[in-house]
Amino acid sequence: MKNNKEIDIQNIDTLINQLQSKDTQFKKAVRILQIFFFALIFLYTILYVFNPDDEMDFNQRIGGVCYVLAFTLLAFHFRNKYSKFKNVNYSVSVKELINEAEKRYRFWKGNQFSSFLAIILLDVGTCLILIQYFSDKWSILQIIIGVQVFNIISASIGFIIGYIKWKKEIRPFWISLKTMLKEFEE
Amino acid sequence: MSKKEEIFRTIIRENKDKISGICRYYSSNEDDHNDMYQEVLINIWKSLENFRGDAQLSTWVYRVSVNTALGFAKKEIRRKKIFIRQDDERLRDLLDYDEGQIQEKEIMLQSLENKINLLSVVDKIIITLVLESVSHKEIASVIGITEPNVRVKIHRIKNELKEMLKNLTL
Repeated sequence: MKNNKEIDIQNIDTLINQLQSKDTQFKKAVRILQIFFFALIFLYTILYVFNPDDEMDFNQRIGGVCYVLAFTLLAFHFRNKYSKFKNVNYSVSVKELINEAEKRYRFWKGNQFSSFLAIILLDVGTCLILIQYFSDKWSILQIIIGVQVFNIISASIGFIIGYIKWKKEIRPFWISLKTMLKEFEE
Repeated sequence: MSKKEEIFRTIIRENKDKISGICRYYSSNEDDHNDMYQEVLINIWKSLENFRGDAQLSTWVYRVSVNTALGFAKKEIRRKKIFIRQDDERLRDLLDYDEGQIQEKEIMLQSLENKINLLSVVDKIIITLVLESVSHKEIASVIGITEPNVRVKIHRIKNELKEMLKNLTL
């Protein structure tokens, strides 16, 4: 086996350049994500909150506020999630690293309150916005039920696909991590 | 040169042998070794901001190296194989065997390697660190268990391996 003095120190300048460029790429990716959500927040604030259109009623404006709040929550949720996966700290003890990984790869994570709240806000916002458009054809109750049926079906499909994907791709690894954590205690 | 780059260069210069030593146990060939070594450097770079000096620099480097080596094959993490070097002096010290007692050194090493690979991941990490002459205190800090626990585990692993060696001696 060749000595690493020869292999890597020679290439260390190239590596440092690559690392610095990765740092920049990461910062850029986070920035793009933030810009995307802030653009949506800006758009919906203009469209539904500050729109001077007289035909826009109070319900629609409140619906728009719900969308803006939901996008704000999602922006923070994705930013946190992204940076957690990108910034795994390899300098902690092996046990701590495995413990953190076990939490990250769980199907059901305890800290998903913000995404649930965002979904509820989107649901309420959709109901409030659609009431004005369809109130001449359907009653308010029918519109609310219709939106709920659509959202529940979409969420269920998403949940099932997510679970199947997790079970197939992540679960075996997650089980390994749990077993390893037990081995630390033996 | 930025401060980060300067610290990074110093860490690599002072710890290249330690990093290389750990990578050697977790790679079967030169290409794997080089890829892993590079991956460790990347993770040292990424983790630099988390170095607060509460652990020795060498312990910190061992942590990053072992964690990287383990994470290298995510799904196969528990089946992660380690590879024993033929010329490992420490192995002889660890198991107190006399070269003359062994009929076929290569067969012995192969059996030993197989046996080590049947151990739990934690035990495998301990073996690699013991073979790298890392102190019990540092091993405890790298793995995240207590020093007495490390000693108990080393004692148990040694006994298991010695037992196996008995069957191979003359």
